[in-house]
Amino acid sequence: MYSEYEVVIGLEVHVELKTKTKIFCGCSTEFGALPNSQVCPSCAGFPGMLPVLNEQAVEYAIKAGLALNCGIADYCKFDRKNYFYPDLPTAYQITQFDYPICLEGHLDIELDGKKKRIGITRAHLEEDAGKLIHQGSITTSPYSLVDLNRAGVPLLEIVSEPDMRSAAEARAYMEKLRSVLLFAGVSDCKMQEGSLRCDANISVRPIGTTTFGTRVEIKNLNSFRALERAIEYEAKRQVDAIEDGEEIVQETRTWDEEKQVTKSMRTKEEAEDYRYFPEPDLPPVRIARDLVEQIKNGLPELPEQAVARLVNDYELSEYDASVLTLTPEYLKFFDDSVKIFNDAKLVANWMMGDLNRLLNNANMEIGEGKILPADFTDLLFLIDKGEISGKMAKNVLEEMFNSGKNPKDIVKEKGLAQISDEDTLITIIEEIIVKNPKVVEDYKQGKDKAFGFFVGQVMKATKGQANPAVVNKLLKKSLE
Amino acid sequence: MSFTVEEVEKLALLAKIDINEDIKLYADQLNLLLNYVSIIKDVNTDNVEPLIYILPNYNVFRADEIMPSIGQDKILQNATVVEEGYFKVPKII
Repeated sequence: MYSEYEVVIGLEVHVELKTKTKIFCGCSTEFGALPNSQVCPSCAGFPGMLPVLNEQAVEYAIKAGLALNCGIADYCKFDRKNYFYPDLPTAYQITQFDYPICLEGHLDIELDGKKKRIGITRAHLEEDAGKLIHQGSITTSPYSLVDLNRAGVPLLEIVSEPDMRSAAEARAYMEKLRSVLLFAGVSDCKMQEGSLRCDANISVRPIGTTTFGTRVEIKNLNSFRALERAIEYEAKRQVDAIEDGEEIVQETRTWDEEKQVTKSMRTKEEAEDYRYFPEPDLPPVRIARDLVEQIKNGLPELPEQAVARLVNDYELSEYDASVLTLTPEYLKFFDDSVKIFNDAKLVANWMMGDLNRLLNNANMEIGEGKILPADFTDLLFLIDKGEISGKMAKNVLEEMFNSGKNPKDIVKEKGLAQISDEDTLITIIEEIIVKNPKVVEDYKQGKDKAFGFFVGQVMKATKGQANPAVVNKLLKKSLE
Repeated sequence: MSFTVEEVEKLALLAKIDINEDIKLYADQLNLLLNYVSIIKDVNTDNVEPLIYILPNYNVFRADEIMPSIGQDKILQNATVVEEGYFKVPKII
């Protein structure tokens, strides 16, 4: 029955802009400080305080908008969105209602080799709320703790069109959005620290219909995996409800990470009505066209341009190029490595394979690791010259990853170097041949296994360090 | 235009004010005010640009420079309950 329905998804992504200070006051935005230590009367919502807009937040918003192919408004203003919640000390959030800073835009995603354009409705500036800490989940916690350090951190809320049709598309959109924002340099986009967050609007409808079903908003999606799972769960829940003759209620639900279900956040008395009105304390913003032009000219290389460059300059596949451009640090590591070691395909393979595996296992980004391009390429040179085998190189890379040592030192210390020297190998081979006259006989009578026995003996004698190609060549010669 | 009792009930709910007993009284008072200010509807606003912000200022910015915060102790001194540097609040949902 699920195959008769399609899921319709729109995402509201909140990204913290990486200004040094909050959007309307001079408190630091540094992550990880003591709770409630980066708070002043303004961001704590004391009466009589005057918010003043951080110019850098406006510039980052314009930069992000341009990177997302958005139009930039000539005129924008701020509004108050009124609601009571413990993380919101003023009981209103300063946001932008009818005059947002970034207008229509789009982002192209690629899934299973197919390209799709996802529309962006708008993006607007607003202040973040404080952070709530629950014991377990919000629905089970007996009380909550409030930290206002995050209250007033500048956010850009990026609203997509309801253009996505699967959890995988939603994930691809989020990943692409993250990489564009990282390249634009407007946010550090750390989902685990909450600097990139997402709410999903989800509805289902029978395939072939054009009207939308009743939508449900899902909050608390703190990872790509949570986003995918929540969409899959919620779509199924809605289809089941419709098939049972129930009506979908328009509501906000929260993703329960522990139980892997969505739960209603409605309390029976709640009536959602934000009563937006213009923020009287903040004068509007007029954005000069030459400022937009100047920011546009200063935009760094964005992921799509980088992919085109890698495909063009290094003949990498589009897939490889898109993996290498997930983050600017990752691409820089590739670019720096290729400057030293010019076989781009080998650099890409070792980065995307073993290095990536080590990073993922350690839950680290490339910049946080101990491996530098200079050491990484030294390893590739060792492989390329046949001084170590591919199998040994994997171990050496792991050692480099753990200790930060240069691969040549590791090879020397552990005596891992591959033996390719013919004189050394011939001596070993001849000893083995002398000791095993019967196997030599077998070989001469055409038994293939006998050859394998000799290779095995050489490897054993050299603790696996003999260069297999050289051993094969020399063995054949010696046995004739 | 006038306020119905239901609308006043909804407003009270949104504002978290308990006025259940006097709801009719508040509705009447709000309607008196509303009738008074409704005179403005008689003004001819043809060819008048909508005014979004009342002052002529725009682009009032501050530089992105850190100013000292007031400190954990001070910000928490008016809190009803504090736990490990946090405001402690009752169960939300």
